[in-house]
Amino acid sequence: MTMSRDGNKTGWGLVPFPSSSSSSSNTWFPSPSSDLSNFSVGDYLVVEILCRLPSIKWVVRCMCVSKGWYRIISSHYFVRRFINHHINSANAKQEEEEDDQDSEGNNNNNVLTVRARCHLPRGDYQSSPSPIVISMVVSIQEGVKEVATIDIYTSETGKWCRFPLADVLQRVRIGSLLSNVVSLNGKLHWYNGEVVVAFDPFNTRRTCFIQVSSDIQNKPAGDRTPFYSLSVCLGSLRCWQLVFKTILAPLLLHHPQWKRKVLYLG
Amino acid sequence: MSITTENNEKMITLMSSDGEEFVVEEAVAAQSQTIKHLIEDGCSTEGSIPLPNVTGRVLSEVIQYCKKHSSSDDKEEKELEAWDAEFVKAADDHVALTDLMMAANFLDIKGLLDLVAQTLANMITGKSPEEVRRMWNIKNDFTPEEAEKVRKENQWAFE
Repeated sequence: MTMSRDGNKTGWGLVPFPSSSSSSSNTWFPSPSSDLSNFSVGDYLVVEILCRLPSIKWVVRCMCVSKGWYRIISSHYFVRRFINHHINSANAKQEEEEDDQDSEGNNNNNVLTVRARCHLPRGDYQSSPSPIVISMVVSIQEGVKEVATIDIYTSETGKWCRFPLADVLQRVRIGSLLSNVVSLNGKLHWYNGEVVVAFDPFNTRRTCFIQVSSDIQNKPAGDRTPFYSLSVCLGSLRCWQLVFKTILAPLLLHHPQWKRKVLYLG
Repeated sequence: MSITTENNEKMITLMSSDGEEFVVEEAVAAQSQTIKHLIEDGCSTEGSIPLPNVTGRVLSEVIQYCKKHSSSDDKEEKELEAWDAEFVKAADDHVALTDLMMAANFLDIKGLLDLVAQTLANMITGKSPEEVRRMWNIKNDFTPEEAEKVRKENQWAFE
């Protein structure tokens, strides 16, 4: 169990990937789907350590350590653990900071904040396969001017950055976020109840809008709050509106009384 | 064996892989989910609980941690954080920390695992792949061509 200090024994699977299958060719590069089945206890401990590295940059550097580490880091399991760990700790940290601000008496009463998270593969627009994790907070500060901002956390830098949502001053509901956030072509998309907002966090850092048909904008009769869901299907953005006709509907997802609309956004 | 102290706290005996025995309060030992389950299954009533994967040196550190964390409540969070920082500092180096992490994993003590894994992660942040290999005696089994390929694929991380 103990690891010897002079070093012939590592004892916990920080040992290299078995080389038997790999000596002959270059085919050992594992596909990302090769997952948990071959994981040893030691591999899980490596995951525990590496998912706590401060940014994806250091993780990628560790891919060069050995084939075993390359295989671990390439696994979906590791990526999921890394994302969850960082988003959870980033959220906890932000909440703490917000609490601190509140206690200092800053006037935050008019800030509307919505949180969402989204996984934006960098490969969407660059050749690098590394995932970028986005957690965003959209805020509107009401006052003389309405200023909407978006706070984005990326796993690449391990930091939160604040961007103004430009072009939006006239749009009162611009900061609100009535749907999930999805990534497509390197942009983040969400529906704010009026239009689909697309934000490019990497290149232009600007927002643009996709009009949706009046059909989906119309609030359903009965004043029930509809639930919107964006998703990407066959390379295009789709917007769903779910209308629950009974209060219990969220518990009865297969209930025949709810209807759905699907909007194709090109 | 279970003994009861004056204030009615049930005691548990833990035995390390090298035969060292530790008598601790049940509440302390139960910080470990593994031990907690063993106690619930009645394994503690006949003599000591053997822990074949943990040496006495490591077990005494683990018990130190469990004692501190079972006696503190939420109000002392800041103090506990400071204590944790001192605790991992005292563990000295990455080899001792690795032993501690294996024990935390086997004994299923989430707080300790978090603490030690984060400390090790901080240690390897900023290190080159070669330095990381040296820390754990990991053999570089990439051929030069393979190493070049991995590096090229991820060039941005090295800039």
